[in-house]
Amino acid sequence: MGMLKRSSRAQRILLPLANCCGILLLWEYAVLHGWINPLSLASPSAAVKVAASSFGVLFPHILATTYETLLTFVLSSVGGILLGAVLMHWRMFRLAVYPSIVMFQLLPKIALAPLFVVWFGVNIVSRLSFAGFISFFPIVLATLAGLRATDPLVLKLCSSLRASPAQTFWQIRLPYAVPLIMSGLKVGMTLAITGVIVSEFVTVQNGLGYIIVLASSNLQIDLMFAALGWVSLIGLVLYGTVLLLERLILMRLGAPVTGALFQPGEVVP
Amino acid sequence: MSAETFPTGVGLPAARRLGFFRRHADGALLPVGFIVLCIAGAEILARILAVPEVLLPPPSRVLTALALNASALCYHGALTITQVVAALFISLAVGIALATVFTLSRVINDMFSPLFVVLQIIPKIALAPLFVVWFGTGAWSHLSFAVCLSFFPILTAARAGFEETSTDAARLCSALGATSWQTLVHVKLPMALPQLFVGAKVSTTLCIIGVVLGEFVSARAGIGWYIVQAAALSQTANVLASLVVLSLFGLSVYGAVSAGEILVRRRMFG
Repeated sequence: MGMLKRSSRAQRILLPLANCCGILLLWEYAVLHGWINPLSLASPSAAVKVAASSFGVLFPHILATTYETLLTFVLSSVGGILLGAVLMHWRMFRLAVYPSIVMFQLLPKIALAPLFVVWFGVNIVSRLSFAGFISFFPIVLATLAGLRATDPLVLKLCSSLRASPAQTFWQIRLPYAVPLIMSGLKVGMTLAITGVIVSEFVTVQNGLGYIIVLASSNLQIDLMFAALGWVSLIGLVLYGTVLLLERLILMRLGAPVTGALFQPGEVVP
Repeated sequence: MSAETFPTGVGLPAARRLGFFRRHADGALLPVGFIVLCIAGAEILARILAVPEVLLPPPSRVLTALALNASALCYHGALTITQVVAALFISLAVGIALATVFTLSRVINDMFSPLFVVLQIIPKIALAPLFVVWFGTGAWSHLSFAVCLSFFPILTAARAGFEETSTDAARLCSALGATSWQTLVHVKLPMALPQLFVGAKVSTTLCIIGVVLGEFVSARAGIGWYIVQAAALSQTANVLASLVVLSLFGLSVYGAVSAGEILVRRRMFG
């Protein structure tokens, strides 16, 4: 088969939008005409209507989920970058801990959610620590990989110019590591909101995860879709913020902005 | 660190002078030592400080729980692992099928692939209760949720693999008059295998997460259900024991996929 032609920019923007509208219309039409049981799939208009009418009820939960996600993200990114830097500088520690962290990534850590309730109880501490536990390690690994990926010739130059280790770190290693650190932070942000939602499923106290579980057990499918819509919106806005931050930092550093929106390695539940 | 890039010839005898311990420390001794240290530390801490068993059961207690509940754990574990393996195969099929469609038609690719990327950024885990509403509390609900979580890495891997196919091979195929379908099945799919295994490794973990989370939300059996029950009864040792089982399962499925990858790589690249 010949190589397919590269599609034009307009086609790449318009087609998905048209497709999206088409799916929504078909969905609305299907529910309206009873092809799909409205008990199992709320129509988009019904979800929007419920989202608008119950905004007052949902608002504290939206706020709680956003706040917890942001707090988790800040804590685990600061901690993750610090631990990554420590791991880079302390060779023995790195050799001892690195294989465990990598293997830890393979384990289904989400299964630990109920244990955090046993440890910390039904409160924000339990949710924050679980979400932090989920989102922390990818940031550590990304930071370590970034800090170790510095061009060896540049490091050679630094040592022959007698740069101090601190100078080398702040002016060479850290700027070089920014793309990988930021991709770690993107994964971390998605995992932070995932962790918060799962923790809200388990603690059943507040937040959009609580609303989703509640609506599902009451079979209020339209409320559930409204909550799902809010979760998606929060996730997209927070991810977009990290993306914007990445572009800003890269522009500030004068680095070429080449990163794709989404790399295949960054797959998260 | 910087000296490593230049062959100086000084490094070799120095490395040989290091003792047995030093040479093996890098490879295996340190990581294993670290894990042993952690377990021993937990055991000593739990015993000396007399931490309540609900909070931190000593590792020996977890082992006892593992032995005592072996039959229950095996039963629930078998249920879960069957679903995980089934979910992995279904997501392989779905991912490869979608990648095939995307590769064959540029328009469909343009229509749908941005939507899939956006779906990746959304926390899909929030959908778990929806699958209960749709499919009930049985295995179908967990299976479909796990597939929904885990097909995407395979889709991206397959697409990357298809695109990596050398243009020379593609040109040869078209010169020989092969149809797109023939090219896909006989050239692109085999050449994409290494990439597919990379995707399958990521998928494995996601499959386990999907099935276990599905069982958290609704189940009458399975390891996820067992964990929720044990946590509700504050049997922390049992929770940790089932986590050990789950981790062993996860690592063995991952190991099986990696072994397959090595086999295929040997077959293909000698």
